[in-house]
Amino acid sequence: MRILVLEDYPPLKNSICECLSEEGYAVDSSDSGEEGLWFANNHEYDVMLLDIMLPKISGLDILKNLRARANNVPVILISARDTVEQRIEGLECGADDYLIKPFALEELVARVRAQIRRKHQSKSPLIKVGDITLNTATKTVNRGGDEIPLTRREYNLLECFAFKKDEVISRDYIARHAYEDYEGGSSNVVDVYVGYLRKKLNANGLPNAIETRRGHGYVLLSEPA
Amino acid sequence: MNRPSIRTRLLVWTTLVTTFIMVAAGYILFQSLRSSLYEQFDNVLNDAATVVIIEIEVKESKIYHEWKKSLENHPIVAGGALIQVWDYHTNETTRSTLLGDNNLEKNYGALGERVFYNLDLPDGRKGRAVGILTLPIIEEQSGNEDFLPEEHPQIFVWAQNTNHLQRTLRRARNTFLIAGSVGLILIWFAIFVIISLSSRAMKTLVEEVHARDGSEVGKPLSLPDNLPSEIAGIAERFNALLSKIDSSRERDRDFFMNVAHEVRTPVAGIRAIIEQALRRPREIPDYQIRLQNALEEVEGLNRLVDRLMKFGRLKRQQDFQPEYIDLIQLSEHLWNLLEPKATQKGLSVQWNLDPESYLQSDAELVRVVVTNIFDNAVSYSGDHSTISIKTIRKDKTLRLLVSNSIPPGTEKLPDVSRFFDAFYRADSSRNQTGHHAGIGLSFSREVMELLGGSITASCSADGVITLEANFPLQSSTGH
Repeated sequence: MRILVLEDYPPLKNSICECLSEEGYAVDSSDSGEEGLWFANNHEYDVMLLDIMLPKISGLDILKNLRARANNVPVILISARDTVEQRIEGLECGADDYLIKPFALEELVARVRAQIRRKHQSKSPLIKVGDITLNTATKTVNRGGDEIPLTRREYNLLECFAFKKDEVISRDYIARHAYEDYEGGSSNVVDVYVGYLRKKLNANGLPNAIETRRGHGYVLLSEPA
Repeated sequence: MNRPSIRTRLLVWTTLVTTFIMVAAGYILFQSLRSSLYEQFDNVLNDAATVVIIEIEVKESKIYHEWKKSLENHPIVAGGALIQVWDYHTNETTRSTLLGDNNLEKNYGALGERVFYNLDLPDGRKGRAVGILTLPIIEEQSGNEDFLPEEHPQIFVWAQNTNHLQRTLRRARNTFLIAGSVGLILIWFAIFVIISLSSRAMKTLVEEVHARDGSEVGKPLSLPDNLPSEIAGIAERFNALLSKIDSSRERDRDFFMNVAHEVRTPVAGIRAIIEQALRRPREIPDYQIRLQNALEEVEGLNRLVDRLMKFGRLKRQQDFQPEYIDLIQLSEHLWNLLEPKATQKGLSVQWNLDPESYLQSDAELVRVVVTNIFDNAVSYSGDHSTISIKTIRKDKTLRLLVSNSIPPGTEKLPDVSRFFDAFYRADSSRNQTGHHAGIGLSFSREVMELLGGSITASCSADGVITLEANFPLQSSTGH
């Protein structure tokens, strides 16, 4: 999952970015409204954290701009502006959530997860794909009742598949949403990690859940053949 | 302290005064009527006496009282007249029939003079008489050649009961008393109604003030339409005062809201740094870096709190010490302090100072204002632009005008009306203005109010911001 953080106060921005990275999210960040708007308009994000008081272009202007372009990325406004009127103004501009500073990082992470679930129309933290169950809160995976130990990257990859089960997703999409340090181009990092993930999911002779569609990408099947 | 209301005072005093005036007027009127009736009565007495007195005649050197016959012949004319005549020297007396043997009280003046007086009549009734010292009349000289009237003056007294007059006066007195009392009651009632109606608007106003609770202190009073002009004037001034209190309270409220807002972001930063540090076990150097970051944020927060405390102290400041200030010298000195920052941005300065730029004021406070204005100009100028610093001495004011151009390409002109709001920054973010907390100009406005001057901001269409401080040439007292 890729998240954009726009916050002009460096200590807060750095802590949020680090926290989200540790949670396994790919994070882009900026302390400028102008740059942030460019990021938002040129990349696809799963969630956007947006401070209201940004230099050059305010957070609310960025939000209005995005919504005017039919960009429906889930946006969580983070602001010290705490009055009811200010919160209403933010939500009326198209925000999906509003978090008042100071906040606990755990709460921020929980709200980010909630927005991702909502984006993928899943209300429960548990995602079931056939006999595979992902717990997005604890970041654990079960298949057929047995827990499968996954690394952070492997989990991110599986979560990316799980939210788009039975859909073919491209390598590029996977790379952008699952890997923070993806630079684009012809890297085979996705293929390598898909290989690792398959190996763990298909252990003990279980059917292959991730199929390769040549020229298109991969698909996680809810009913593996 | 017992403070009677205006309404009570008006009621009591107008009642007392009108009562006094009515009683005095009634008394004077009654006395006037009484005098008039007595005068009329006396005229009748006098007329009658004048007619009768000539009937004291001398015949053959003897005095005859012909008037007695006349009275007997014309009893209707005589009415109830009681007449007695004394010979001045012999005291020999002659009485009218009605008097019988009784005597009248004798009173008289100089010869021919009429003396009117009240007396008790022999039958016990009250009466009034006219006493005249007169001389008998000689109708024919023959036979009276030796009689000299001057040697036989007569004292003539005509008395008449005053029953009718007394009755008339009693009736008049009663009429006066009744009419006066009714009149007084009507006047009191009218006064009461007029005062009550006139004071109703005041009462409404007072009730509104009483009904106020603490949350409505600054809200202006709604003035009744029929409020008397004197009270309306006071009430309007009071409302103006309430408005000032309200805007002051609102400013304070906004200030505290802004303080809370300003403090939240650094607190959020510190909290995030610490939470992030504790999320998982780390190496000691990693902890040290994170603690160092948190400490730097705490120090930043501390600087903000220091500035706020300074601001708070200034708002409480009561007195200041006026002294001679050379604004040219002060401006040059303060600009030198800012020069490194200005040089870094490639700024140049254009001086245009009035040679008579001096004033009597508090040097420390003037320094605060000038520093903030210069600092603001340097911070919000576009790179490689020119800052204009100008002073003008006019009338009783020394004006300091500092202009700077906003960075080229700035889409929106700054909202100058908000320049003096605490925590307002031309750019709403915090990382573009360095150390600026956004309280410098708000601070300066408070200072200028203390000094008895003012500070304004304007922005031209081509993006030139001018801050103008108007210092009074002499600030002798604080607020």
